[in-house]
Amino acid sequence: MMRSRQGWAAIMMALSVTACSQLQPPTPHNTTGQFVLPKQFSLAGRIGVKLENKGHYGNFDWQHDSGSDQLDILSPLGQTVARLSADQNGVRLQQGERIYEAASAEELTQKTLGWGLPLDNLRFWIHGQPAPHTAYQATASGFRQQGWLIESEPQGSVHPQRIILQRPQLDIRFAIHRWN
Amino acid sequence: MTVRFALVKKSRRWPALLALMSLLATPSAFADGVAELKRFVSETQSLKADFQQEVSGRDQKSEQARGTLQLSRPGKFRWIYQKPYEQWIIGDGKRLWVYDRELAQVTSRQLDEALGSSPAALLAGKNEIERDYQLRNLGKADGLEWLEAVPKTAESGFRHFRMGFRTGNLISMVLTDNFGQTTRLSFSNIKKNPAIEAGEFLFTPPKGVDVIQQ
Repeated sequence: MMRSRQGWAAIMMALSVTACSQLQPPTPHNTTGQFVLPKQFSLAGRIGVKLENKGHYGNFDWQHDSGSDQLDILSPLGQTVARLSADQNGVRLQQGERIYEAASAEELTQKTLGWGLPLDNLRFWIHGQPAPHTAYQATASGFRQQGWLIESEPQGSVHPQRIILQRPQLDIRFAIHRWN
Repeated sequence: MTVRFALVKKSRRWPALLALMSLLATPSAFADGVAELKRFVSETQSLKADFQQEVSGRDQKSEQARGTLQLSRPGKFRWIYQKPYEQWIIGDGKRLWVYDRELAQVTSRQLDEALGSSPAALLAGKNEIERDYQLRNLGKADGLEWLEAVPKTAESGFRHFRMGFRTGNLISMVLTDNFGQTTRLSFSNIKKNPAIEAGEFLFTPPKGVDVIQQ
């Protein structure tokens, strides 16, 4: 118990050091070896969202299959609390009997939950990789892209166990216990 | 509660009579699921068990988790997922705490708002099950007496759940949510009415974790 707490403290220390290192000039990035998004992937874990000191927390299950996504937010027991579906026809959020629709996931979650989930970029970020065709800056522990700071552990893995997305006043964390 | 008290009182006065009564009580006295639930609720002031959870319903894949539970009536419980991730769900009687160690986050909210979101909360309550759910006997299957509980309001997040009992012990629970997904809980190493230290139901967020009010 004590030992793992110390381990955790070390990670927190590492993260706060990272925060300082963002002030350093960005390392030029290498454009070769661009990450190609798998046609299909699925993962399960927990998501924690902090918006100032309010937020959301839940288990999640995400399935991506050739251009369509289904992201379920589940209770600890596995009941589906909300389902976000995205495909070429748009994005839907189903919460109980209610269904909301919008053109993008970010707009939809911003409207319904009060914070925007950048799903289009997240498909890449969740793999610890920057999204293609958009500038990014590497940092000591991750990268910055489109106003977000993205950090993953283990760094460099395309199947990370932890991802932290941060922008001012918003912190979205993923802990992943299953990758397929 | 009052029934239990009366029985305890009686048992002091007429232990032989009570013994005879229980001998006379044929298995059919507790033979249906609803009666088993009532027996479970009236007999169980505290409980310890291990649980296994299996969530299925999508692409034939199932998500498995396991852990331990402790509860003390009314309203206190400690439901801990240990594998494959660590998630603590603690009801201290007033608030519900959910601690995710890997995310270093704790969420906290009023327990009454959160009731129904965890079977531990349901089981730890007084008689919320009968107040909030329509109960129906399903008969015997796999050596257990089953009942089905359908929530009276749509807010609970699940369509129905089933509880399987054997000799006054809750052995299995199957919950079906509004999306057709099914969660099966199996309980083992069940200890009825063990002494549990009050501290087990208290939660203090560890230093350095984010506390989120939900």
